[in-house]
Amino acid sequence: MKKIKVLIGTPIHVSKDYSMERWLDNVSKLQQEYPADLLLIDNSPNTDYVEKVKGYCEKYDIKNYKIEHLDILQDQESSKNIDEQIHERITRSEELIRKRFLASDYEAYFFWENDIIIPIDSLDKLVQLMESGNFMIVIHNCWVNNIPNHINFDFGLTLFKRECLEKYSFIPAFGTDPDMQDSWYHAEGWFKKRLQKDKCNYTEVMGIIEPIYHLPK
Amino acid sequence: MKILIGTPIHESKDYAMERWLENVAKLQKEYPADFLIIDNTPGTHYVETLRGYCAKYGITNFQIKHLEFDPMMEPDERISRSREEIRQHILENDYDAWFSWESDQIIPTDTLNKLSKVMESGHYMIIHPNSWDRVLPGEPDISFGVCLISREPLKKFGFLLEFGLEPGMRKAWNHGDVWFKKQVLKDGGNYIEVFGLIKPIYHLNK
Repeated sequence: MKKIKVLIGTPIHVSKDYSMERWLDNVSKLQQEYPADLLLIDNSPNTDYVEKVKGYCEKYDIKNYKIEHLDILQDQESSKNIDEQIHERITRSEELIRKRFLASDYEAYFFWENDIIIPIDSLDKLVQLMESGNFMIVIHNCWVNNIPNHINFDFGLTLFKRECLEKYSFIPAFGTDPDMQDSWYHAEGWFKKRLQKDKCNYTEVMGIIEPIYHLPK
Repeated sequence: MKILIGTPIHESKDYAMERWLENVAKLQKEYPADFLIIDNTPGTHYVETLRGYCAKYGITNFQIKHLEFDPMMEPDERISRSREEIRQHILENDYDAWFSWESDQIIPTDTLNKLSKVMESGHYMIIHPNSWDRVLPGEPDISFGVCLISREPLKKFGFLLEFGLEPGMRKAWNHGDVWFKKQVLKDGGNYIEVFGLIKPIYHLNK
C-alpha cells in the first residue's frame, strides 16, 4: 500500500539537549519503518546549537533532514515571561514548518516533540487512523513529563493533514474572538477551537501508541 | 460488525423519546443493529408507553427490560446499573460492540457506519464522537452520550464502580464513563475522541 508523504517537523531548543540524542536515535529508526523527511527548526539563542545537532544527525545516520535557525527574542531581551516565550518560540517555529510544508508536496505533517520517545510503528498507526476517518488532525495525547498522571493536551504527537494546514496558521490571530486572551500560552488550544468552529473533523486519542516516554530533564 | 444499540431509559426524558425512536428506526435501516432498552423508571407503566412508540415508528427489532430501583436513587447510579445490564447482555451474546446512545441525542443515520469503519480500521476499543452539553453552552459532553465500545474492554471492565479501589477515587456515581475510560487506558487499552466526524448531533433539552 502506498504510504502518504509525511514531513516530520520539530521545533528544537538547546534547553532540551538532554533528550536530543535519544530522540534522534528514535527518529532514525522510525524513518527506516516509515520514510519521511525531517525538518528541524532551531530556536535557540544563537546558531551554535545547529552545528551540534548536525553532529548528532551524523552520529545516528540521519541523512534525510534539514535544519534551519529561527532567530527570536528570548530571555531578558523579551518582555514576556519565560513560559510564554517558550510557547511563542514553539508556535513561530511550527508556523515556519508549515510554510516549508506548504511549499512542497507533503500530504501530512507529523509534529513530534523532541523529548518524546515512541515505538517505530507510530507513524504508520497515526496515518492509518487519519485515513480511516479522513481526519484533519490526529492528536495523540501522552503524559506530562514532570507531573505524574497528568495528561499533556499539547501537540506533543500530532499528525496534520495538508488540507488543515492550507487553511489554518499556527499563529493565533489575537482579537478575532471576544474570549481570546492576548497570550501565546493557548495558541494550540485556539488552533483546535478554530477547527471546532468550522466543524472540521479531528480526533484526540490515547493508548494507540504504547509505550510513550516523555523524557524529564 | 454485530452491534447492540443499548440505552438506559427513564420517563423523565419522555420529551425526547419519540423524536429519538424515530431516529433509531431510520438508523437501523441503514445499519441493522439489535436494540436493547433498559427502562429504569419507577414502576412498569413506561414500558408500555415505549412499546407504543416503537410500534408507531416501525421498530420491530428491540427488547425492553425493566429495572426497579429505589425511586430516590441518584440518576448517575441508575444509569451505571442499567449500563451494567447492557454489558451483561453483550457478553452473553455474540456482539462485537455496544453503541451507547442516549435517548436525548439525535444523530445522522450514517453514524454507525462511520464509527464502525473507524473502529475496524485499527481495532480501537472506544470511539467517542463529542457532542455538546445540553445545558452548558460550548461545553463538550464527556459522557457516553454517543459512543461505540468494542467487546474487548467490556469483557474486562464493568460499570458498577468499586469505590475505594483506587486512591483518590471519590465515592460518587457521576463520571462513571470517565472512570471506565481510565481503567481501559490503565490496562494498556486505547480510546479515540472524534470531533466533527458525526455532525450534526442535537442534544435535546426539551
